[in-house]
Amino acid sequence: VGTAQMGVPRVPRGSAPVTSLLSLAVTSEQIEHLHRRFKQLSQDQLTIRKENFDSIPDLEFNPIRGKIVHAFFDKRNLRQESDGLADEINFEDFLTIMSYFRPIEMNMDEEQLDRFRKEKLKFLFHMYDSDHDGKITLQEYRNVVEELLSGNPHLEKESARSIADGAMMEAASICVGQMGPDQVYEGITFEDFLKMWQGIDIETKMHVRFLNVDTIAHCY
Amino acid sequence: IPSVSSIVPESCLLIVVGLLVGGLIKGVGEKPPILKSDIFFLFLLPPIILDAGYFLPLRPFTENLGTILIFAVVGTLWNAFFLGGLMYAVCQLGGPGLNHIGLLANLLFGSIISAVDPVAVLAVFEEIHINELLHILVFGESLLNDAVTVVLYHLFEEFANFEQVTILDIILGFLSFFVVSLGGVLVGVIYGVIAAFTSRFTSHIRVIEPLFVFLYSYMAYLSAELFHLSGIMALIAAGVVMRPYVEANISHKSHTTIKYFLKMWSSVSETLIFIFLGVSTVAGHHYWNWTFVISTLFFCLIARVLGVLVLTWFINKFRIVKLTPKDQFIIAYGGLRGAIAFSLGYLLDYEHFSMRDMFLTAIITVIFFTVFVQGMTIRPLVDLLAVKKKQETKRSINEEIHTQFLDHLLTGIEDICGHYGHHHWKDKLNRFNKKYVKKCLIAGERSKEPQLIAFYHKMEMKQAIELVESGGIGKIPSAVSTVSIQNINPQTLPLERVLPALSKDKEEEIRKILRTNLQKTRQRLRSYNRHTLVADPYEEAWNQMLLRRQKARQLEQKMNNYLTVPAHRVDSPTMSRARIGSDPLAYEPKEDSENLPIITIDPASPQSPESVDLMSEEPKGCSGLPPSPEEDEEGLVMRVKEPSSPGTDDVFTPGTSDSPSNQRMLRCLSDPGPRPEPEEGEPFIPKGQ
Repeated sequence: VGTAQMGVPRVPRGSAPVTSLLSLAVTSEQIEHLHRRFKQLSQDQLTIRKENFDSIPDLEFNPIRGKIVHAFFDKRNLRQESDGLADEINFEDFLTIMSYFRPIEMNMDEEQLDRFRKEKLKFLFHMYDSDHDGKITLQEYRNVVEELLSGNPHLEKESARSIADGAMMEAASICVGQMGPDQVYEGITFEDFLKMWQGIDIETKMHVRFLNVDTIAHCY
Repeated sequence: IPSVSSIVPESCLLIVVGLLVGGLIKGVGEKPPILKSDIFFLFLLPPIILDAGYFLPLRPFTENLGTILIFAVVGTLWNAFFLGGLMYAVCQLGGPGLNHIGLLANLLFGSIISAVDPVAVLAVFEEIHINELLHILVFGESLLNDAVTVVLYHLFEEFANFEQVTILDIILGFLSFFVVSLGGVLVGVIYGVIAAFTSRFTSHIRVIEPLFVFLYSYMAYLSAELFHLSGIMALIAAGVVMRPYVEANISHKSHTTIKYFLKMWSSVSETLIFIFLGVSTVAGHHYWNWTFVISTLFFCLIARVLGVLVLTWFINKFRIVKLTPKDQFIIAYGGLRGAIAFSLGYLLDYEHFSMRDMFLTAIITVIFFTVFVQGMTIRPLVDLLAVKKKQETKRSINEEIHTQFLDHLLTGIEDICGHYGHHHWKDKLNRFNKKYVKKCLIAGERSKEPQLIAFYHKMEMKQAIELVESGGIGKIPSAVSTVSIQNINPQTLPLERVLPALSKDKEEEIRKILRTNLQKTRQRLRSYNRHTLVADPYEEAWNQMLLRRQKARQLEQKMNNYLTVPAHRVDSPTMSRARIGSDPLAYEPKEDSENLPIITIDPASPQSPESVDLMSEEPKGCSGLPPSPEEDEEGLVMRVKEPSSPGTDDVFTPGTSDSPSNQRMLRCLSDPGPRPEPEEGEPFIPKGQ
């Protein structure tokens, strides 16, 4: 993705070489900003652990903070071949996660757009699929809805369940269509997930605006 | 041969009708009525604007608010000054007929003609089904430019009488823009909040709930107009603010009433406006000056195109979804003028503006041109340019879950980055809304209902109503086709599940009720067989019963999907007696089985403010409230298996029914023997109320 340029990023000494950052299409200003933030979160350490995220006050109110923090440590998102959870991430990994939220660029062609979109949806998929088995089962979906509604303590668990069930049935009918009475729909695979998101243009929705600042001002 | 309506938009036809009517009246010798400004502004315009504001799709509107504001404010200002200035130049050069028109008069004229008209835009854009983004951009612009129009109009009208215009006047004029627009919005918000607050207490007087919505909105409009603030913005603000709270408070019927009344009124208003435009054209005094009219038309178009181009270039620097040239063309082309311009021109008085007739002629020409030419050609152009059309997506619960998830995710990421983007502020606003505002403005339990649940209820209601309206059995709504809970959660119920313990006389009561109803069922079946079937009655009846049983099973499966749809007859005394679940003494479910949860959800309809306990599980048991009695057809009064052959009392054949709900039902009706009881029990379900 050739539009990304940056000068020599001021990466902390001792971290892995940042050649892979060239593919992330963020500018040096953004990297600086993120690096400052990283240092703030990690309290000047080289890596961040899960506990460091507790220091963000606004994250308290977020009903899905568990999943968000988990996503940072999910090895599948960190583009590592292995599975499971990392214990700590360094700045490069932090940037990798952030790159999922970069905005769309004007000069992308069809194939790039498609890959762009799939990447973002894969990130989301990993957030829903907590047991890493490649499918979103009914239980996982229920879990998602429960978390979404977790800000309302007086609500019964059953309402979350019925919503999740209804949503799952709808997903099944979209993805598989007619099902006989004894067919069982195992779970939402990534292809089904793509189908479900067809109507929503995620490439424009899933971005954090500040990553767009000064994309015009590339350095060399 | 394409039909007329596919080529000519409705607004054009209405104007033609107006012309004909006006011509007719004139031909007879009478004086045709003219669209007087106060009738227009007081009676014809508000319904349209309220309809637009109340049903404004808020999400795309707020997402594009920056763009819309820039088009509305800067674009209109540019149009007005550009046009006014150029027309002044034309007037100076235009010979003796035009020389006396001063700069201010021209600027006034420019400000009248430059505003994009919401009525015309609505009328034309409704029919071309363009994609949501473009629709909201042009439409939003037409709504929000009212403030600019009001300010400019009054400003220039005043200034035209001044000897001299000082810098101070200009600065004050500039400031008055903020006063007018923000004041209008403030008035609207105040009335919106009052309306929402009022609706909190209307649970006993449901019939006049719609009236509050209409009255408070109209008062917001009038109050704003009274102080020369922007009435349109007040109306929009009131509608937008009151809607979420009012909809949470009012009954379903009131909601339907409001929706249909607004649509009806706005439709009528729109029709009348266009017809009147046609009649006024015939009736009015005209003063045709070729130079003036043609140059007005020409410069209007130029101004619009230039304005859109320049502004889009500027806006695209800040937008994520850039506006393509195609989009820009549609935005520019969709800048239609309409009756507001005409009425504003009509308001000018003769004393100060002797060239009023000429202005009116020019205004009408521009209106006709935009509505006829641009209105008619925009549809083929949209097809030609392959502009994206509106996608008919049904809002699904999945989409809602995903959208909310994404919102929270992005807010979280913003917080982690330490960047306070608009997700962060939106989230803060939502939290503030939930914590304080909703508690004040929404009645009872609904104030704590999270958005997801509310959405889910609404969808269920809609699906249930659809199901019932489609005959209940014939058409299957496509969304939830044959996928039932079995397909995704194939837990089989343990066969040895124990029934919850009932007290003896409760059991007796249940038994009695069920029995008498079964009796009636069978009696009806028999009479049906005897009288209507000629051929082999037993054969026919057998087939019929099989069919009905299958349908009942299907229906049951469908009903199982709607675990929280409340029955609509909660008020009838028989129902409350039969509502065993709400009697805490009688029904104590076992805690061990995971499949016997209690759902305490408030039903979507606020008519039953006390929560209804539905004893339910997967699938739905029998003792809960029966499904909505509208599908109360013969033989389906109870979800019970009809006798396998008439005459036998073997109602409950366990063999064929494999669905666990049937098994549950079988075990419910523990006493199968239907001894015809001499006493008449109350019907378990009121029939066909």
